[in-house]
Amino acid sequence: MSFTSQDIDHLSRLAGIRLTAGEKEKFSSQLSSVLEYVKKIQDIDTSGDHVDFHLEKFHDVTEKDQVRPYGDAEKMIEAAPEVRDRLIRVPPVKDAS
Amino acid sequence: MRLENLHVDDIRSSLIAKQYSAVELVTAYLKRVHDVNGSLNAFLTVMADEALEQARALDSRISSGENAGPLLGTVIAVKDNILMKGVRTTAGSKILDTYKGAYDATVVDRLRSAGALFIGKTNLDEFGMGASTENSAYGATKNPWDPSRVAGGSSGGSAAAIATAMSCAALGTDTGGSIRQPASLCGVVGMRPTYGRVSRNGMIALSSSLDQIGPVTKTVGDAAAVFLAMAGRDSLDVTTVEKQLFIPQEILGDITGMRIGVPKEYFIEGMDPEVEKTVRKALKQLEKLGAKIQEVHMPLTPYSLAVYYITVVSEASSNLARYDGVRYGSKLPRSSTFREAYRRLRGDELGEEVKRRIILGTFSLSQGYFDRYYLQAQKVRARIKHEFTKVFDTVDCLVAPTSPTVAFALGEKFSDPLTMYLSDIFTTPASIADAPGISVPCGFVRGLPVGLQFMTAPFDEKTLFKVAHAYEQATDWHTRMAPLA
Repeated sequence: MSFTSQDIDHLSRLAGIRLTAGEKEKFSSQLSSVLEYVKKIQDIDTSGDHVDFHLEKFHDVTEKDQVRPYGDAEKMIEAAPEVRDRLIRVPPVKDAS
Repeated sequence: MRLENLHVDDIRSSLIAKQYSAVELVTAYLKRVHDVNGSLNAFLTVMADEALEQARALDSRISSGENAGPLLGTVIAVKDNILMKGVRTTAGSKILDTYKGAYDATVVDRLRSAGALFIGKTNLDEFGMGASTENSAYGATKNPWDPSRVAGGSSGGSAAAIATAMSCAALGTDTGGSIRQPASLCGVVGMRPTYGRVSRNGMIALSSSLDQIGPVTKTVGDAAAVFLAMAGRDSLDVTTVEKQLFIPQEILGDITGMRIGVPKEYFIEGMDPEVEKTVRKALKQLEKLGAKIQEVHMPLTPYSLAVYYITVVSEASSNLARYDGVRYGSKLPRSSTFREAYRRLRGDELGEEVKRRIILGTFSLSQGYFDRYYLQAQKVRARIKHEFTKVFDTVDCLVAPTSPTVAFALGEKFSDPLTMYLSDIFTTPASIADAPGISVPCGFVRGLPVGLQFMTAPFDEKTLFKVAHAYEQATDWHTRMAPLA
């Protein structure tokens, strides 16, 4: 399988990245060859394997709820690109349509 | 004081003996940075004022008889994807151009408590995505041995800084080889700890199941000292575990009888034959030191890079969704909808390699493809991990080349991502097996450094440092310094 420019366009929408027409074309050929290479993992028959997400061998590491100072709240707020009176400006996330 | 000869222990004892002050020490390093960095672009931020202020504070502590910390006076450069409070941290990306850390990463905190001083932030491929530091939004770092060549990556700034003694030690991050490969290409020591050994709290995430922070230094002893000061459980990174460490003296001594495996799958067609010859010569040296060298088979090795690649792009596409122009980084452009503003911001501010990887990761995680890509990669990863576990039943340590080539020319692989990815072919296996690895200098080919890679079982860093140290002490490659421009 290889990527067409349309595939890249679709994926870029899912990924939340606007690409130029030039980038779409370039990425479709570059990512097709990368995909061709990484596809070799499919040569290994893993049908009998269970997925090891490494969960079963670890114990619960949940910490006790404790109030403690962490970082610097003022600095964290300052890092936001748009701040007014210690409030971070968030654009409307619900589309008008 | 000759900066080339300064090591963690010498600095500590010289400061205590008052042979020089911490202010004099930092001033000497800052002068070197001033003289050399312009031609190499290893530092993105030089913390001149902060470093001198830390040095003055350290001097007064020493005067009052306080000899706190094993890293007393160790000057450290920090890769620019690790947060320091109040210090600009870009991760090599335009999207974080004006961002300043709101807190210190756990590793910074621990090194500071051990007595270290911080001199600046080093260049990297954007978000750690690359093997040459050419993907930095702030220009490539050049190789100190030949400035027309790459420094390797993604921790190229840290490796170049150590090769020219602009700092005594540096921090890198290694996802698939980003500490070991640039160390190899710049002729210095670079070490990737076991996954779970060092806290990533305060590191800007690339691939959460692979990322580790580790030291870049001139010698194995220095790397071990920095590693020991950082390692251990941290409640702010749930993947860290409390496992026994070692004391520095335990890495000294001979390696007679040590069983060292040479996986034949690491000597492949297409690698530079001179690099292979150099590595084979190093194997002979290890044999002379009393090690038992034996060939081992790790047939899944050829799948490592593909497994690594699918894992890293998938996890990166998820991790990088947070750059939304709201909480930090560049401001969202005005647009009719949030969705549109988000797409524009990321299209404009992220570099090409980052966009490529996010898109491939989005594909690998998408419905209909997840089972064949991300899930299959995790299944094969488990098998590779098992292959590592099995091989360490018969040997104590593995040895292999770090990189199939010496430093390549700037621009040579830039337009062909797949060729660039192949630079990591020998470093990705340890990464996906959660194993530690170290690269040490083992010779030169056409005037460019070659690295030798050791790998051990997870959490056996003691053996890793011990064998690397024995090899280093039997050779003089680590004493060679890159010419200063």
